[in-house]
Amino acid sequence: MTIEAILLNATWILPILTVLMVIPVSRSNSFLIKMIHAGSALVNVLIAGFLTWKVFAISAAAGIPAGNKPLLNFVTDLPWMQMLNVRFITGVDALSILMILLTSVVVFTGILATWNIDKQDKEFFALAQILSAGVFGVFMAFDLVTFFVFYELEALAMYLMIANWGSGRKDYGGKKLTLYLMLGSAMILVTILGLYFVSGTESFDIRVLADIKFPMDFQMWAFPVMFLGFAVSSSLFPFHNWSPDGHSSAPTAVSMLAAGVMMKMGTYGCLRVAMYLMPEGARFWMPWIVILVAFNVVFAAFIAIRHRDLKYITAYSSIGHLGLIVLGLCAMTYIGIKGAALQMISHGFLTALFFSTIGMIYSRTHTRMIDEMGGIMKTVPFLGVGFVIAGFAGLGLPGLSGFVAEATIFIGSFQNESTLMRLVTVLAILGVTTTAVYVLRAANTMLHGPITNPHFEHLPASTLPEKITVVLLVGCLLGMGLFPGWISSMLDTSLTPISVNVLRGTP
Amino acid sequence: MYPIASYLWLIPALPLAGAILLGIISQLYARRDFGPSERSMGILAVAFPALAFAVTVFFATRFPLGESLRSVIAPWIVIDQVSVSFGFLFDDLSRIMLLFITGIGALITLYSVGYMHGDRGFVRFMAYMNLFLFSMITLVLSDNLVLTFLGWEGVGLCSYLLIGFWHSDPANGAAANKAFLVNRAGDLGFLLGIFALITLAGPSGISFPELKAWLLDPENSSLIQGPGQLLILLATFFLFWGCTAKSAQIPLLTWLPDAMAGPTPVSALIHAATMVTSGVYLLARLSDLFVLSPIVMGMIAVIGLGTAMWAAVAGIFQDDIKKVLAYSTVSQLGFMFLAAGCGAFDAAIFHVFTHAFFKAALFLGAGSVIHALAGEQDLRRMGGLVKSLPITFIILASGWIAIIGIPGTAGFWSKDLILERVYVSGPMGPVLYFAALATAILTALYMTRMMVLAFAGSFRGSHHTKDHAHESPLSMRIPMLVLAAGSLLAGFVWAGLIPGLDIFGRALAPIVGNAQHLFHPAEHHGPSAWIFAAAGTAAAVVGAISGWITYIRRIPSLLGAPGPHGLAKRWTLAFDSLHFVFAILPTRVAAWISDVLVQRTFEGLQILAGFFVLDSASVIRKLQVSSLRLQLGLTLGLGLLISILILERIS
Repeated sequence: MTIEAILLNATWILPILTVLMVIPVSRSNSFLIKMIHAGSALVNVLIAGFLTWKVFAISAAAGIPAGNKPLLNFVTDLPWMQMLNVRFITGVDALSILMILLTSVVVFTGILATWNIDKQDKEFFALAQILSAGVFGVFMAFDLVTFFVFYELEALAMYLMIANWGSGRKDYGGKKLTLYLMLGSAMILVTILGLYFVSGTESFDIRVLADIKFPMDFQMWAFPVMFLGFAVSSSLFPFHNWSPDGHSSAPTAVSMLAAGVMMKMGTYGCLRVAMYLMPEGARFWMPWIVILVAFNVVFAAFIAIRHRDLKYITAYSSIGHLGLIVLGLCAMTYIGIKGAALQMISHGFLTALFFSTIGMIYSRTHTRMIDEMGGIMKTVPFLGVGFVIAGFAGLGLPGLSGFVAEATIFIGSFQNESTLMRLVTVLAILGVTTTAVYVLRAANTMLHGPITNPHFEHLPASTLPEKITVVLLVGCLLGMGLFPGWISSMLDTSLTPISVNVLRGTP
Repeated sequence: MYPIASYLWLIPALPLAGAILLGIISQLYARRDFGPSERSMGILAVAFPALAFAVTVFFATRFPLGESLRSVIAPWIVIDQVSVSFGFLFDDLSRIMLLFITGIGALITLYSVGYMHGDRGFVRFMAYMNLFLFSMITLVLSDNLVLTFLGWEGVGLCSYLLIGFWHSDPANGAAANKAFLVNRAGDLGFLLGIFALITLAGPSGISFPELKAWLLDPENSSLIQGPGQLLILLATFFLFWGCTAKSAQIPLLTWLPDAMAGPTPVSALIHAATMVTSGVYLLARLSDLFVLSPIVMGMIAVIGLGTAMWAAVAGIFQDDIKKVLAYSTVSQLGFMFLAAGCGAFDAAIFHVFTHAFFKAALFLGAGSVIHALAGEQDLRRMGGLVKSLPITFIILASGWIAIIGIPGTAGFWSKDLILERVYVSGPMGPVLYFAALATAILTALYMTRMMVLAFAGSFRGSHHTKDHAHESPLSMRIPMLVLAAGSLLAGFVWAGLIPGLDIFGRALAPIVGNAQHLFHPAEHHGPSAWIFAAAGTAAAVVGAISGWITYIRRIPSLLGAPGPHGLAKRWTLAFDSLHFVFAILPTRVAAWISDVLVQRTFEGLQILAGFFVLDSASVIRKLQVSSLRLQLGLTLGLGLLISILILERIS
């Protein structure tokens, strides 16, 4: 194992080690606990940044690999369950390392954004770390069982966090989320086993399975089951119902992680496993799945218009944006897939900023209903500006990352010449336009106008951790919006081989 | 070519640096009770646009007409073969646009240093103004559609921020939201237009020079004449749709009158002189594309004329001095679109240029009146101001004679040129011409009404405001005087009166000449230019005199007269009602359907499923633990049943 491979695995081991490290620390020493957690999250950001730079350098030197396998770096390949030939395989290509970088930033800012959590902070941060370990693992796993184990780890931690530290109907929201995710997991597990048995290779290694052309009658049932199983966590219609209740009852850090990275695990799985291994099934089913996408992109935006609770608004906005990712995948064109990958990263930063500023505002006003707020731009201008920037990134203002990703998706899906696909594309552009309605209304109602509540006259100023959170995330949005070139060229080295498989047989 | 071209980025970068610097300073002071020194901040705020103007002048004077500079800084978005870069194109069209954008921009920023004096958001305001200038410069300097779209959205964002600048008043926030949302509806068209162009021309569809070359390439003519027709129709239609929002044309014009909620310098710079003309700029920039679609060209002309007439009538009903000017802006923009639709792109840009001077002068003059009267904007409570505000009167008067088209003024030259070109534009030309001439009479009428109500007669406001009335400080007077001089003299850059000065038409020839030639293969010969000039002058004089006679008599009855009501009100709000019926209501219905019908239905189904699972679980649980007797009974009963079945089998 190279030092990079060790560092790569450290990103998921370190959070668990941190949890163990914090156990002996006295509960009363809350500052030390937080500093240890923030420190370990920061180390992860640095590791992820370093590895991203390494992968960037390697892929720039190696160019776009021929064939259907992305250049896998920093591989760890250990035997695990011998009798089933399950192996523990981790490694990263450009797509995975960018997702890991995104995750590390969201985890770090998530810890900073919930700095002032006052209830059982020791357990809260411990669970947040365990959750993040699961997410890191998913993005680096290249063995389906390893992948699945990490995939399950996060749902468990999330349920406990929502049920304990949530707000509103937290028990309901938490249970709903967990049940939905379990449903998705069951669907994924069935198809993973199907892939294992049908392939005849007795291997769970994605790289091995990628060379198998699975029989069409298997793909016909297995692809939709697996794709929709993953799509549950990406809240594809009609499996989206967990998301509004789940997000609205979740504490800030969980909302950030759930919308920022966990929902992307679904689309990542859709691309990396379902579409990559079963492209023929994908080609057959995508015209049907795109109808579901139409619901996502149009209905979510319209429903958000009717909500007055900031978290519901943002949750529905996320459903719409995730719909755009799936739209890019459905296009079955290279540009569409690339747009989807860009949107996964862009929306991760964007929604983390959204939920973090909402959480910071909520911790001051103790309400999330936009009608109960008013004029708080005067008292907390910094958070107000952060929220507005997140909103404008969400509605696709050029210069921020959302525009780059969305434009790529639209061009990619427009390249698919089927009428239905083009119709949904136009609907999706319309949906993005509708985004402006609820974003601006929320900003106007809560930030502008006279101060409605005397309590709002003296809201505490934003603290240093909050400032770091907002500045870091805004920096990521701006950086990706203005200089998407390096991410884009990096992604090519990973997506070109993937699309060799995905697009095989297309004219 | 010219190595110096690689410094073009300085022009947008200067105001951007100003915006970032001032933005950071404003955040640092955001929660304090006092701001930084206005004097130093004011110098800073004006310095960046002024420097940008200086750099523009440097570039503009360094190269002969017809030369164009292009510099690509860095790639931005690379999607397969379609590559979008941060690239700048400094040709004669962007040269003209940049000169007046940075020049008038710097002047108005200087004016606002005086106007915004004492405002708590002084620095924030200056940051937004600089950010606006950056976006506007990017819009016109960009060499491709996507970077232009960045500027397009940037100016929309700044417009939103500045309309809602005094955000304590919810009405201002609502106006800002309206402006952004209506523009958003237009952006939809812009984006679809870009997609149509990419579908048509592939990677060449993005950048302006390449698109022009592609369109003029004989190899593509069979595609353009044949199967590409539909895509060209779609592309031009969608792009024009985008322009109707930004330039406040029918039907997306409702936001501009509301936008007057912003501070007056904003109305002058953004909502009169620069941003709202970007639609006309885009038409001229893509003139080679638009002329390929005669249907859309006709649509542009008709919509432009319709907007001009509608807004001119609406202008007569307004009592708010800024609203009068807002409707007048809408009307003048209509003239520009009319010209563009008739294939006179150079005349349209010329009117953009002269309009920037006289409308900015009018707005700044109005701002000076409002400033003097402590925020009073209602014409009914003004009057007799010629005595207390003589300088302001001179400024407004020069703007007034320019907009109605008194010979010699800037407005005269450009409006005359438009009217003449419209007349000779084709078989429908004379019809459009007479309608436009009637609109010119209306223009003179409502502008004269505004002048009469504000300056003639005696003061109708309270004594308090009368005592308050004073001329503006020097920082406001200098920009106003420069702009007033511009509105009198700016027209001579086209007029052939002074040899060598008629550079405007020649400068635009390389950009739009080809398209105009394509649109009018043969020179139409209309009546002599003197007849058009005489007709235009007559329209101005007739309108002005009838305005004077009508409104000087009404002055005594003005105080306490109701605002626009009845038909006048319905006319003014006609498009707001249309928006309500065709946009707001459908959105609400769609939201209701999505939320109540679809979402709740699924929610209900899911709860049903949940109940089903839970209920069956609890029934089983009950059977197992809760009731011993039930279990015993069931066991016995089942045992009995099974025994009976077995016995039956045996027998």
